[in-house]
Amino acid sequence: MIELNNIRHRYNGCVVLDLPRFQLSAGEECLILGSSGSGKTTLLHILAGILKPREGEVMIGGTSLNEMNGTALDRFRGQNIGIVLQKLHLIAPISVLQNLLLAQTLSGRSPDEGAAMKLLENLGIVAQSKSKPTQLSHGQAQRLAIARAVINQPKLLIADEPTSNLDDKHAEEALQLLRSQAHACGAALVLATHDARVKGHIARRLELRSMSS
Amino acid sequence: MSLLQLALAYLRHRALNTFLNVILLALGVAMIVVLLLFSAQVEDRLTRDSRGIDMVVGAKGSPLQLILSSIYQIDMPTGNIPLADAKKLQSHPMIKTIVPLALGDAFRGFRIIGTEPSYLTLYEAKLAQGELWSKPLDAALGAAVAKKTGLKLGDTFTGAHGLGAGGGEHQAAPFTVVGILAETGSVADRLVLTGIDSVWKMHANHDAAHEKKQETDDGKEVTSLLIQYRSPLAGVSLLREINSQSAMQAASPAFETARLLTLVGFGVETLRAFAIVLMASALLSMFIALTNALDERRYDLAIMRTLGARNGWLFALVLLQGVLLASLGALIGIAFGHLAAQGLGMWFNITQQMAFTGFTWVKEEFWLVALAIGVGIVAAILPAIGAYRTDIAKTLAKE
Repeated sequence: MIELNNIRHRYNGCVVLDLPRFQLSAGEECLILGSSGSGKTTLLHILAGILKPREGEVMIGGTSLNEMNGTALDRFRGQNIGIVLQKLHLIAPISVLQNLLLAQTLSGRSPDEGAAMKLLENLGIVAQSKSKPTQLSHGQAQRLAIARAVINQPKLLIADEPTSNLDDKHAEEALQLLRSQAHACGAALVLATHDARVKGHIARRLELRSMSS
Repeated sequence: MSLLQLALAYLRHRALNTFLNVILLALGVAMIVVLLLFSAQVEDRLTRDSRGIDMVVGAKGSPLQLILSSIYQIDMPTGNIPLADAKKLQSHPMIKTIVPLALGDAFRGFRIIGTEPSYLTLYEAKLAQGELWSKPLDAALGAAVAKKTGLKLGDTFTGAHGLGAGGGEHQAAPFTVVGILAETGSVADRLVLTGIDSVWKMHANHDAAHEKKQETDDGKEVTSLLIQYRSPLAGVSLLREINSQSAMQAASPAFETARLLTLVGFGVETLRAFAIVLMASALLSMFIALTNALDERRYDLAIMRTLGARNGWLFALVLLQGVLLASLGALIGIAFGHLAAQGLGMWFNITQQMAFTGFTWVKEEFWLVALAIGVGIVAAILPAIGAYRTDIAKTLAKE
């Protein structure tokens, strides 16, 4: 499903990531662990198709990202990869529902308001569908960010530090939502974290080591 | 969620900023609209009023004043010329028609002009009611005069000395309204027309009270003559002939009008330069607003890229905001400009010099809209290129 081979990436000549092989099948969950500077973010960006590794190959669902360029890669990313970032960055000027419709439009599909409302209902924020993202509580905003990442039924769901800055209850909730939503669309789930609370839930982990040492 | 909806949402999100930019551009556009409407209508009036008149002959003095007083009826006459001298021109081979004018009195600020029916053919004026003057002290009212004063056929009124309102009245010689003219959109609308002998009679009676004057051609005077050439070739030579060989002055309306327009034109150019400065500052302000917005939204743009947006789409999103701002500014500016022109027109109407309306279009306004949208595109192009070049990974890694 997801396959990385001989990935090596450098910044200014320094190797920041060296990953000979990484594989993940559909519906599988994996944690990416490592201190800051270990190449966690770089790996996430490579998986998300927004950064091309200097060396190595990225395959998602049998398609090689290396061979795709420009528009095709944008389209592929929109349709197959969902991302939840640490800072949520919802689009502030438009409503909760419109944030989802925008995600559908940008992926190249025609917006489906029914599907969007159903997802908001599943995530318990359907009452806020007409609110602006700034009017949401942090928990609600996080749900919207998750909804935005899964609205296009991706094959891969990526989350970067989804539980930092959350109290135990909300961290637990966010994690369960990510897992259930990934499960609902049959997506592989990759979580980058250094949060000890998460480690107990997911068995598979990829530990990255800082290259500079 | 279309591109347009999103662009509008971003503009609404920063409503105050959007409002200020739109207003700044609208002010520049409105000012140019007023100038366009004003100069188009002044030029139109000036050419329409002088159409068909090749030359004006009157007393010596300023040629511009002669034109202004005899054609546009907005300045004092240069004086009078003896009727005998004027009659000599009638047999001149280069002259086709002569329309004599006798000025001197006014009724509630509208000039009373003694002339011949041929004056009406100059402006293609037709009677709406009644008939033309046939005996002394009959008068035909221009459309605007009839409307403003409310006089009807058969009513009588008395003229006042001088060309303004007020002054001593000719109580002894009341005019009778025998005709009312249809609207022509020219100077004829604002005149009281009568036979030239009415003016003589009025002043003969008047003068009789002071001193006895002869009732012959020798004593009679007219103010000026509107002349049509037999051929356009007559122009300069006839003008020179009259100016050098008689006590009268000849002036060309085309030449004097052009001179007047360059005088007025200087003021218009100054205002136009000011309006262009306003539009340039609108461009700058829009550029700053869009650039700042781009810095704030760089993360939003990166997120949209992760959601599948092409970089061309981001380019279009930013460019569209500039175009929307500019279109809004242009539309508001044009509406505002027409309203302001109409307001000015109403004020002009009170001063009675010229009818001026804001409810008309000139084709330059389309160019103005195009110019304003061009300003929007120029202001947005650099920020749009910035959006196009958004490096997703770097932007997302930064925060």
